[in-house]
Amino acid sequence: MTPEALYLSPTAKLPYCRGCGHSLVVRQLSSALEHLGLPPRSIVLTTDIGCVGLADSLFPYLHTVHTTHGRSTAFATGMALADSLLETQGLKPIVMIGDGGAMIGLLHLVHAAQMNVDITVLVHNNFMFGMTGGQHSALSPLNWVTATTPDGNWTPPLDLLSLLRTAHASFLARRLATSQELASTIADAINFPGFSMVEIVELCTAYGTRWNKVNGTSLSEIILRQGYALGEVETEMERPTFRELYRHEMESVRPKRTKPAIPRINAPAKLADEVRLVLAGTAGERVQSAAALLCRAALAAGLHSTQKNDNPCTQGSGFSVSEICLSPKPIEYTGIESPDVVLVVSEDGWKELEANGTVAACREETRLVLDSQIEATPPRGCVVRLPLRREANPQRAALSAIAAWLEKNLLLPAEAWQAVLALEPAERRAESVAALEIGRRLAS
Amino acid sequence: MIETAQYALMTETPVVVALVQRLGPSTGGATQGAQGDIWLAEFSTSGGYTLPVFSPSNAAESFELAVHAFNWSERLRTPVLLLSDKEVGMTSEVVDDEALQIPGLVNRKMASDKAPYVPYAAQEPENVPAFAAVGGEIKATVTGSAHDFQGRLRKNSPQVINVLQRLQRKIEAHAEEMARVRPDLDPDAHTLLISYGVTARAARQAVGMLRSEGVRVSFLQIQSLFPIPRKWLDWAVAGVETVFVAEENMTGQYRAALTPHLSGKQIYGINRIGSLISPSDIVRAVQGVTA
Repeated sequence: MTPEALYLSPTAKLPYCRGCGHSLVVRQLSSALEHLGLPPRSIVLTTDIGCVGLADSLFPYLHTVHTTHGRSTAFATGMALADSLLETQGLKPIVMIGDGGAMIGLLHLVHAAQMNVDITVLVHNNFMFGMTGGQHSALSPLNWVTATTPDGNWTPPLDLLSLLRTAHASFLARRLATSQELASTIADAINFPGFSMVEIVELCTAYGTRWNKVNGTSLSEIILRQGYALGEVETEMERPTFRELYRHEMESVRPKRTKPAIPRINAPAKLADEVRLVLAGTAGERVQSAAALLCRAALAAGLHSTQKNDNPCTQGSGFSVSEICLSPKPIEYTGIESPDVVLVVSEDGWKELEANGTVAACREETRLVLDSQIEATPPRGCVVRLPLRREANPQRAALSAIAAWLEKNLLLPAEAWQAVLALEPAERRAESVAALEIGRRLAS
Repeated sequence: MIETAQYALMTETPVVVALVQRLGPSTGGATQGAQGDIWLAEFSTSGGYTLPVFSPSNAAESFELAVHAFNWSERLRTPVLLLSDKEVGMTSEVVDDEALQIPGLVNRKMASDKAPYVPYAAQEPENVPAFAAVGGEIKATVTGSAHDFQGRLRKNSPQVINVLQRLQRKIEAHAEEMARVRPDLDPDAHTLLISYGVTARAARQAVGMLRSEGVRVSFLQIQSLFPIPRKWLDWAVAGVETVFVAEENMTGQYRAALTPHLSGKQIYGINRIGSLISPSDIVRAVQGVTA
């Protein structure tokens, strides 16, 4: 098979309108591939929606992926990433996309440039969405007449090269589709290690030339009027490609440390029936961490547990609530219709429990441990007030509240706490031990 | 999600989408659960294709059903949804890893270079073509547009219709094999409670409460929401007069999907939005009708 037969079929009948720049690009791309002599199976032609998307069937030996509108760059980036991760070394995605698709998927272009993935993007800029009826795109020049700007475009066009320059693109060029150098520029772009983009300026002969007065020199005049350079190739050779970065980073990555398993202790919990508990406080004060420690200790003592957390979407302000169920049997329903135990260590927590109905759902036998600073009086329940925030400090108050409640119940053996605290980092462990001791002391 | 899930359907790309539902519509409620995306998940394709949907009710099922979802996506080369929700996805709970029922892994059938490769043709209507990877020695042709057996964009081609019909038939042909339920049936009960996802946990607890009060009730937790597990459903409703479907959405989305398969039964929805449906809610609803 001759080299040219590997790419654009010599017998290919190009499907584009007469005079359309797409035909020129397809032929010049094929010439560039012939010049480079790349194995066809090392290339994946990734086409967008629009007339550019008809190029797939013209290249019978290349891998072809015809994508959704605007996403071809994202698909190509994904394939380049996979190629880097799998270290198959050698797949070259070439994207064929219009100016309309480039705008729909603009962030994909920016992201690919930032990552410096080894892909080549050919943006066919004919100033409009052609296949869909000649609508305006963000690359339409001023005064350009389109189906959606019948009196001429009012908004200044986006300079794709400038934009991708700010995204640290490594190879950028702009050429007319009629340029004699287009094939060599495309070849340089494909051969370039890392992200490359060639904006190819052309005309849509279905709509662009019908609605706008243009002649042989109009294209370059339009480009120059916008202050754009034509024909210059900008390259940044110093930037490592994503593949190189990935290899470098992987060399220094240590295997993730797996969390040690929680050991089962020989002193089981003294719990005959399930307990449903609500722990409430202020976000950022280790409320949910304290709840998690309780659940881990329960697990060590052979119990089943569930923990549901809630906090405002700000994460670090306002209330923080954990709903916990401890049970000797597997737990089905994880909600709390009426709590057995309520531990509240701040006003934020109390207000939330009033708002979400927990306070109203308390029964006479519900046990409540409240920080002394909370002034409100629950309508029902057995209430104990303790100076948790003052004695333990706000960060330890939640765990102290748990310890204070458990001191009166002896539900979890001390060995359970020892087992889970042994797994904590030393500094955290000291804080937790102190919090538990303060809680026990206050309760007794 | 919808555009790309349809692309995966059309290109026969194995993919699993984990959709963790929360209170909608629009941005909805942060940190508030819901089961309101049943129709969004299942009926999001142009053409009404069946997307397999698995719905776990707890952490263990999330693990097990995720493996099933990947297996079916590989075997049938199709997008599969793992439909979870905030409560299942964000609740920490104890899992006995030794008790997990993890199926063996299934991988897609790969194309061989021993015979000419036709990317979108299958020998039987319910079969799945072999897969050629981009970058491999066999040319991969991938397109989300209507295509013939070779992956060429065509109009008015019987091959295009054949491909489109096969995308549905390959799912339907394996529907019974894909079915996953957790039944707890009482052969003498005339009442059946159906639920799925997080609400199935409240339902299972409610069934225990009802039975302790002498109420005869059967329970069917459906893990494979779509394709609807017809045979299991027919088996569970045999002898049943009244069916309750409990789900955390406003209009009874899955109930509506089941209703055509429950002809002759009295069907009631147990619904709520904004918070979990509790076992007491279910007990009250069942007692309100059957008492």
